[in-house]
Amino acid sequence: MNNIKEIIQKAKEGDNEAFSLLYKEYYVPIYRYIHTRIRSREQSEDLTQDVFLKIYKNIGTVLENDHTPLAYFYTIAKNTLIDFWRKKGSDTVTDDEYMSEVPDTAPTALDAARLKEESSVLYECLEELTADQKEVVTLKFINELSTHEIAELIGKKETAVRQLQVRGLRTLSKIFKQKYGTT
Amino acid sequence: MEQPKKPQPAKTIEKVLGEALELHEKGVSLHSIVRTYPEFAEEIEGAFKAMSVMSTWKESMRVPEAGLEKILRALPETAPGNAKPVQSPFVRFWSTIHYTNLKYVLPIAAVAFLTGGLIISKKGTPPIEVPQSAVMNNQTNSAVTRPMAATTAPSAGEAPLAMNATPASSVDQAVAAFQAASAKESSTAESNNEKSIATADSQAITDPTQTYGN
Repeated sequence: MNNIKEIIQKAKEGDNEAFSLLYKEYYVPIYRYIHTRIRSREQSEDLTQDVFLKIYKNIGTVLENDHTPLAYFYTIAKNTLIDFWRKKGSDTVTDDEYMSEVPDTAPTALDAARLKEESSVLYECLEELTADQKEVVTLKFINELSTHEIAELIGKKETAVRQLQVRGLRTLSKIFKQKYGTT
Repeated sequence: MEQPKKPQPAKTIEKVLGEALELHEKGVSLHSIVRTYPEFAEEIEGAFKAMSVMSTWKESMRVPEAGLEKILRALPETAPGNAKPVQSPFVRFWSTIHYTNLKYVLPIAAVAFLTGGLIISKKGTPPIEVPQSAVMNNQTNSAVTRPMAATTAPSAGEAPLAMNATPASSVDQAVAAFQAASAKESSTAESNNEKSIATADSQAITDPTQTYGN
């Protein structure tokens, strides 16, 4: 944590190398946070870049309050998503955007198709959750944040976060059971 | 005969799942957790399966490699953190003279100027002192002896002096002569004016095409 503080301090002083380190440290969690809410990979990349540009421009305000850098960055990412949806007029994703999403990590075409289908199912399942449940479940299992960090980020108590997490997982479990007949 | 499974109260299931997740965070295995709560095994396994699917999904997400180069190209050439808040003109001016002596000189000068202004306004304008010899020689009454057209208003110093001074008899005579001459001139001018109006009237009557007074 002290290391991150030092890096941020250097970035504040105009050290682009330090900002590159920050980027490497936080790019993946920010990208995943956005990509779980937007199916299109290209748009997720663009929005992640927007987030980092905003961080770059406002690096002077990072760590000014009690929030951790990650919480601050997630807040920027969340606001960027809200702006994106507002401009778009909807938070739904078109079929074209969905079809463009083919995970490149799949080694074969068959695996690619399977992953694509699973990904599609997961997006649909997440749509069944409430906004709070979706936020908590993705932050917990996609971004691997602790319950304490999530509580700080969304401004709720840890018990409330755990409750949202449990309810979200129960809902997901029921949907999987309905779709596949088994958990 | 198999008895129907009694539904578990939702609150209890949520509580148990919460505890199960807490144990999992502490490193307890799923097998041990299920053994701890055997009556909720199905629910716990379902929740852990959902967690597993989410984790698999996370791993399948491709993170672009070239993102750093792209963003570094997109970054402005200036140093980071240049988004400054909008400042008022006064604040900007003040910040520009921050390191100069003006910052200290200007307030002192302003205070001195205001204090001086206050002192002067309280005291008022000091009266002009006129030497006594000037009064005795009637030099201050020279304005009275001059013709009316050439006279000027007495200055602030002359006015009180003229009121207080006692005029000599020659001055009285001169004043009386001047007033008489003025009265004569005035009556002559009035009679001349009346004559010209009467002439105009007679012309207007004889020549109806002319406008009266023109």
